[in-house]
Amino acid sequence: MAQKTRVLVVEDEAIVATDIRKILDNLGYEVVGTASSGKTAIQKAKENKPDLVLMDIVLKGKMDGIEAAEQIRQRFNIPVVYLTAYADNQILKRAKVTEPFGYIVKPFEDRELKSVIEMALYKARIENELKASRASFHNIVEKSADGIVIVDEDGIVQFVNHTAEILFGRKAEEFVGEQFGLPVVAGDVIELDIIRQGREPGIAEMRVVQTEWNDQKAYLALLRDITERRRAEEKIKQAAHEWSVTFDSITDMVSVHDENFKFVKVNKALAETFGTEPEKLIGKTCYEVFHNAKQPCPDCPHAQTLKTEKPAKLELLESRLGVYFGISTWPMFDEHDRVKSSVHIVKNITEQKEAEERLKETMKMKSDFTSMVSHELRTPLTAIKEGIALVVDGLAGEINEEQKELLDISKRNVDRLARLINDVLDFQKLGAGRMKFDIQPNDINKIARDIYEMMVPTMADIGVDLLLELDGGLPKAGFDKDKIIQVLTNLVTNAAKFTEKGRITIKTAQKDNNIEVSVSDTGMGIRKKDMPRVFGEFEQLGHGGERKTGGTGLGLTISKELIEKHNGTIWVESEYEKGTKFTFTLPIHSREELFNNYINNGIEEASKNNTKMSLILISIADFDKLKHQLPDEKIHSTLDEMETILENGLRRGQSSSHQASDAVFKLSSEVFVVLANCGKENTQRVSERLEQKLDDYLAGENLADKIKLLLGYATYPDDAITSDKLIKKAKELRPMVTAELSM
Amino acid sequence: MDKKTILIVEDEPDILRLTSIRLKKLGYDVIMAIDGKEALDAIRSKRPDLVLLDLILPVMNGADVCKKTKNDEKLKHIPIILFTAHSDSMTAEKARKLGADDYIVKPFESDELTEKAERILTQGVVS
Repeated sequence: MAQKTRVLVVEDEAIVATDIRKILDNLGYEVVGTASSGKTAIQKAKENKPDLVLMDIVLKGKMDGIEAAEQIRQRFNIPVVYLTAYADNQILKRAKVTEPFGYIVKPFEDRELKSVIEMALYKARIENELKASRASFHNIVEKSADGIVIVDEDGIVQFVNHTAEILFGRKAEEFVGEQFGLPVVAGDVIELDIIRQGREPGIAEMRVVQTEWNDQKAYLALLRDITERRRAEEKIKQAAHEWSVTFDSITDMVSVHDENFKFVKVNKALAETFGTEPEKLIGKTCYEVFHNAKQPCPDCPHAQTLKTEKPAKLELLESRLGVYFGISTWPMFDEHDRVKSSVHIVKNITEQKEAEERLKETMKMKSDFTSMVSHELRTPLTAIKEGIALVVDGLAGEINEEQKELLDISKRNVDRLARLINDVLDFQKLGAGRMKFDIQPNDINKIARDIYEMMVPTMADIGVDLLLELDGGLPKAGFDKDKIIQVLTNLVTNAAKFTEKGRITIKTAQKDNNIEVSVSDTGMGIRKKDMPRVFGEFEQLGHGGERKTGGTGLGLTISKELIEKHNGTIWVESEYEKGTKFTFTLPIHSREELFNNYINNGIEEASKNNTKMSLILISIADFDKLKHQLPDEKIHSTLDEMETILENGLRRGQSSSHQASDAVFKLSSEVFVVLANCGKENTQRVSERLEQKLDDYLAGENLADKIKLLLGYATYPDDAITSDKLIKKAKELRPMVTAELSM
Repeated sequence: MDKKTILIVEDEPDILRLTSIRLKKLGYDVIMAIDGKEALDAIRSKRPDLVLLDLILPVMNGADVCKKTKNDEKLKHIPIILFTAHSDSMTAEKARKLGADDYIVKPFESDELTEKAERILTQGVVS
């Protein structure tokens, strides 16, 4: 049930008050109290918080009903209905000022009282709602991020909200009642400069709509600060402009292509090359425009970039134009991080190519010149040497001791001159990057042993013990055998020069992924101050300024260069008067690495010289099964033996038909034979011969029934042009021919 | 036993002469050729017991002489020692690929030459 309306009755005449209370009770109101004076009325209104006060206008005491009503109304927001015995115009006029909610004139009917009370309550409720609605409207308007100005039909400002004050940098008081000064036409959107109090001036967008203000036609102007937006737009526009200028001023041909090879964006340089406008190329494919073709080229870098999502490159000779193009493509990732298009940059590299060609020619001329000079220098040397030798050896008649001594001096210096020429030529070649390296898997221990055997007699002559300390378990490393022999020989002869008595030790070891070779002596050592100059050019460090003859001062410099070209390092440790130790390292590559490098180099070489290169793969059938049948050691030793047979088979059996270097690579269950400068037919012949040898070997070892060999071939460029594809092709295996015949 | 015949092929007359003096003194018969073509003619007509062949020669170079000799069934048994320059970066392997039996880098020690020649002539070619 709804709560009863609570009423406070203010009446100074007790009888009347009781009467009214009775009536109100009957009408269903709850009388929360009665008061007989203005003061108590205010007191009771405060305590009881009635819904309505029924107020006699005429009260005894200082405060009359009108004054009490005014206070109650203002302080507690409670509606008041006046009770009055007579309608005195003067009093009513006063009462009216207090905005009463109703009057009732005594005496009155019960029904009359009820309708006046209900009316008053309704009015109060409406008024409260209106107030709340006004407050929230005011709140919205004041707090609006947009400026709001209301202008009447005469252009006079009627209202300004807080944001508008900020935007115009003026207080509402300075505004309202003044001319707005801007044209206000409903439906208009204009931009205007604004002050923006507290910030730098900016731009606002003003929209005008028609409205009403105080029942009059008016205009509402909504002002939005668009400074930041406009600035961002300007920046974007500027960036786009700058980019477009940049894009068009790039002299390389730049374009963007979608996944169907169509032009999405084209720069001026590209369009101009084809005598057209960029817009006219959009939508066409790169292969029709660039290559006059009906489908993408097989080695298209754009296709590659779409596939790999990585940049790609291609060099191309456009024979129609006689121009070399360097093409690079870069992936463009879309919002889903997929590559659906690429940037395609074409550079005219004709000049660069021509310069390269010229450089090549110059280098060749230089190389030819060097070899000519070296030949020319050596020929007279050989003649001088041989002439002296004939006399010294007594083949031209007897000579005395003094004559012999003099000729010995001449001979020694001729030898020195020869070495000097060799060193200078080597040094020059290294400096020019023209030294060729033939990297192959080699056994460092074998090299150390060979050098040891070669030098032991000489060392014995000068009273020095040459010792060998080899690590028997060293794997093969990839290096140029001749170059490492040169380095090691140089280190040993160098050590001998500074060792009067004692030992020189050649030692090999494995350190991590490197082979470490050291040559240590018990010689005179190197002074600390001389250490930094050890590997310097034309440095000859002697004992106290005395120069040992015979050196060129380039040996160690060349050794250092040679080791570094192998990605190794060389260093020296020495203690003065105790001895010196030179150590160099050579990286050990896995067989697979060596093999891949070898093939890649081979391909490069073959493509450069326009020759062929072939691969033969000899693989053991059912290798996994075999592992259960034979001990691991046996399998390994068999593979090793096969490798040796193949190596020997290559080098002995063939003579002049093999120019560049062939090599054999044993991997886990298979052996690859690389035949440089060898086409398909020749490979077939070599392979038949090798098969025969392997077959003989397996039969001899009684392994023919256990180990079945499979064979595969591939030839560059007939079968494939990349190492991966060549190997893949070689892995298309078939049983050995001899095995087929014997079945 | 018959005197062994050595063919020296060398385009430098001084060296040719000096080398031939040494070998003659050591008791060999010496024939001389000054270019590749002369050399090949001499090999074909005289069938020497050993050829000392300079790699760089006029008319026909040493490598071609070597290949032609070694590819000829009738001549391939004749041992060849190549004279090379340091800059040719000759290796035993490369010499063998040309079909030569040995090589010697100029300017060489006279002992080295005579030792190599003697070894090949007394032991024959190890195949």
